[in-house]
Amino acid sequence: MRDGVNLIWRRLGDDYVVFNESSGQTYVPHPLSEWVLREIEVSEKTLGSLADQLVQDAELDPEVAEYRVREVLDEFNTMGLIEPGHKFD
Amino acid sequence: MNVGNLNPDTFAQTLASTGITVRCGPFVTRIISELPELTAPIQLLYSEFPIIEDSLVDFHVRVKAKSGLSHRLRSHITFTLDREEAFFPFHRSLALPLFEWGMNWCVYGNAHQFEMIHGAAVQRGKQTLMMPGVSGAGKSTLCAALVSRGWRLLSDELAIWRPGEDVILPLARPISLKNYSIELMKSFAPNETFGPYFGNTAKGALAHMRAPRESVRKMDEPSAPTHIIFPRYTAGSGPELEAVSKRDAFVRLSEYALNYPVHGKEGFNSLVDMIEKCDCYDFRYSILDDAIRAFDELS
Repeated sequence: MRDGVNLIWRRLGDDYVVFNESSGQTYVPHPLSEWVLREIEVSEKTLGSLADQLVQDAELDPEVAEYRVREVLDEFNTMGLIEPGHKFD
Repeated sequence: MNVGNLNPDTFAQTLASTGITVRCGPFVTRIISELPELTAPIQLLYSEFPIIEDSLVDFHVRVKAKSGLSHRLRSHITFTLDREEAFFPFHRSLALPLFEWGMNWCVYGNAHQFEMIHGAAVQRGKQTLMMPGVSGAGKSTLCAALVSRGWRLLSDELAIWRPGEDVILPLARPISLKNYSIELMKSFAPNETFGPYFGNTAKGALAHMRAPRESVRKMDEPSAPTHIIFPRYTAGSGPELEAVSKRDAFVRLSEYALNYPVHGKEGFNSLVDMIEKCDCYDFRYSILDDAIRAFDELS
């Protein structure tokens, strides 16, 4: 997670909405984004470790898991949530 | 003393000179205008509002003719807030629509101590409905219909609340009706009071329905929303109330939030708090009586 990012999580029904206090942006993450966001909020993670965990937890094909996680991390990169140019591998 | 209690000549003279100061919900507005085409409609549509004296004023507004030698110039009017022109000049035949749009703008353009949603709000008993929607969705028509059948008008255009407080503050200003809904409402509620008809505005035909006396009398009584209803007039549709997830309601409601970015974390939490406490629905309708019955059955 990028330095200074401070997220406020609020539950609405079965979903979460997230407010980035540092940027003022609001996110309504889909389940995978939510999971990745929580993981990287707690500690630094690589794409590989996230994909491995997804393979284990969701029984996904490793290539699919990596693709999906990379997609989410690219999105977070665009949003400014993670360090720019961060190498995921 | 209410606006409607003044002798019309006295009202006109005062409006043209020192101005008339009225309170609409939390806002005190001093209105000045020499335009005879504006005097009677304002006194009609705001007749139940108390005239305020010795009060701090939030908005000093004036609707006046453009000055100049050109006849074309003098046929146009401006709306000023605190002596600053708020819009491009309008033709003076649209004095009342300009005034009403200007009054709306005073709030959504300046009153950022409040959070605001573009939407209507009505209350009856323990139920308070917030009805966000774009122009043309049918929210004002539905609002007018509900109000004519005993629901209290909180607002037709702007639902506002203080951040951290999940109660909507009433404004109770006239309800703006457009196009087909004007005749529809005059038939549906012939005992209500309507302002003059304007056939050719930027938004189509326009007329206003006066807020009921009781709604104005209770404009100091805020109300916590219990339902968020996204209305949509759909020709031929029976009344259909379809549940919307709170997540989707948040996304959609934030699209109608006029100043959400201003309030940061507090605004975010305030919006979430409000949605948490509400049942959220899409509502499609075509016949007003059906719509009224559907809302009567809301628990």
